[in-house]
Amino acid sequence: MLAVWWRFREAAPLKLSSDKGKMLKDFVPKSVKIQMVPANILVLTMIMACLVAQYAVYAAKRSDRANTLLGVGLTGLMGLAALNAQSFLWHQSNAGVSKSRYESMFFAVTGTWFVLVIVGVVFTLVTAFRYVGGRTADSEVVASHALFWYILTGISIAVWFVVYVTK
Amino acid sequence: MFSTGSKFFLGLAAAATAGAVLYGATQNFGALGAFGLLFSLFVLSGLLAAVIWSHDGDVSAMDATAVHYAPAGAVPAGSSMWPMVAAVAATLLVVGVVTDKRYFVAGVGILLVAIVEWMVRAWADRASGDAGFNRRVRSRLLHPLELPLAGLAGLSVIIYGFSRVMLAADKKAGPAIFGVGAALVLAFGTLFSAKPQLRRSLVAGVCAFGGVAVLAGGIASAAHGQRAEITDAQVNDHFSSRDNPRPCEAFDQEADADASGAVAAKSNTIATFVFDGTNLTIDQIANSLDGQPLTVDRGNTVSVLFRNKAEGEYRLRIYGGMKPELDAAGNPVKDPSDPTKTITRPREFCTRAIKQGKTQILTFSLPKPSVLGTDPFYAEVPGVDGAKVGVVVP
Repeated sequence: MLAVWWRFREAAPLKLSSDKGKMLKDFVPKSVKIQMVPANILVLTMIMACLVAQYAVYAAKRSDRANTLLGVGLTGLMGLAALNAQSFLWHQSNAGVSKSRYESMFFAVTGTWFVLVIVGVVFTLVTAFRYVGGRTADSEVVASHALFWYILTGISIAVWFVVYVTK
Repeated sequence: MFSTGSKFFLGLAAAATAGAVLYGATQNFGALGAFGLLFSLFVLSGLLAAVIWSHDGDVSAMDATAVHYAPAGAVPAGSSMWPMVAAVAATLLVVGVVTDKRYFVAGVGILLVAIVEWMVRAWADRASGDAGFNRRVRSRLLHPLELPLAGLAGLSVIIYGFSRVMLAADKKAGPAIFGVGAALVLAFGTLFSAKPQLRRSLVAGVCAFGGVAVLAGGIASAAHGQRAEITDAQVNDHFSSRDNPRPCEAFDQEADADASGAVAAKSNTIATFVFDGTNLTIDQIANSLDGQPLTVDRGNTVSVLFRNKAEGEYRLRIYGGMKPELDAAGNPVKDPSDPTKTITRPREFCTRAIKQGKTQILTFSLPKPSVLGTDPFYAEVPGVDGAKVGVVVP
């Protein structure tokens, strides 16, 4: 999806930058406002989710049930915070799904990311339940949970760079 | 050295490499396809490294601990319907996004239920090697949640189904259906209570039959549609509002049937209109304002009485100027012939048509001063020329 994004961006016409110093790709419609602060917060939240997921793995390997649950719970909280940031970005962007080629791709990419993070939050819920349910010897599920969040964070960084930074 | 899994991913990675080279060479390495194939190569190489590192997850037969805890050595989980339910819910979600919000909401609800059920089921299946114990563990955790929710769902189906039956049935047959239904519930309830030795399957069968009968009746009734009176009332808008053009016409309407003809003595009215068959007169402040128009404070909700002393059925109508026609969202409706203008309609209030000697009360509010409009405000008896009294809003 990101490759397709780049292809369309590559085909976009050029425009002068605001300081008239260089030529930029005229890809984002004028009506769409992309705010960088929530986008940066979003990607930082995902990185923090990785850290606390790894913290849960560290605690699980030492059979520290309380800290494992704390790590898993914080991971879920970070996931919800990232979803909230994305919802805010959508709301503030003034974009419509079918308004333009850019906006359709914007919602396709960020919407897919949104669904993946929802799956991650559900995975977190399942991991926490298994731990609350007494499967403290099964640290592999916590490790696989952390791996999933690493992958999600990698995807988030890629989406952030392509969609929000390079636009 | 090469396990089954590593051979598989090695073959795929080699195919992706060959594809990328071939496709890239023919397309000058600038094509999107080459990029996709290289990305596939990257992912497949990662998976290849993982399976080589883990030896396909195999454990040594000499390692007793690993053999004991290896997933392959665990008791296989039983079949479960929840993955299928989750798939149906996911489909509903997608369909709901592009068609109807109700499908989306239903999809969310079903998906949540499926996730919880699936999660607990998977957890309970590994509780021990005893399937019976595992079932009890699952029941202990989920029954306090499942039974009330199932009861609520069942009750909702019965209430909805029965409501459709009652809306479709004839007005006179309704009480009979209600009575027979209640009698059947009472009879079977008494029977089940008096004969506790009855087989549980029989009791469950009777209850299920009753539920299915109500549901089937509800579906059939919904397909048949509501009875004519209700449909007619919906179309003609008899009962929704007095502030509606249709009820203020002179002719007798269905909404006028059995109109109340008496008003409580404690009603706080500002004036009394009397119609004698030819003229409409007004009595306000103990008749001290004889011949004067009705004066109403702007924006105040006031009540007046209408007394019919003439033969036949008549109503009182109060006209309070024009107001913009609003659409469902509350925005003024544009005139199709001239979009710079909005469509307007009368701001009017009226009583129901009443017989000779009867009295009705009319409560209304006029938010605009009467001097603002191009036409004066008035009270009249529709269909009788000259039966009109002015209304002033300062």
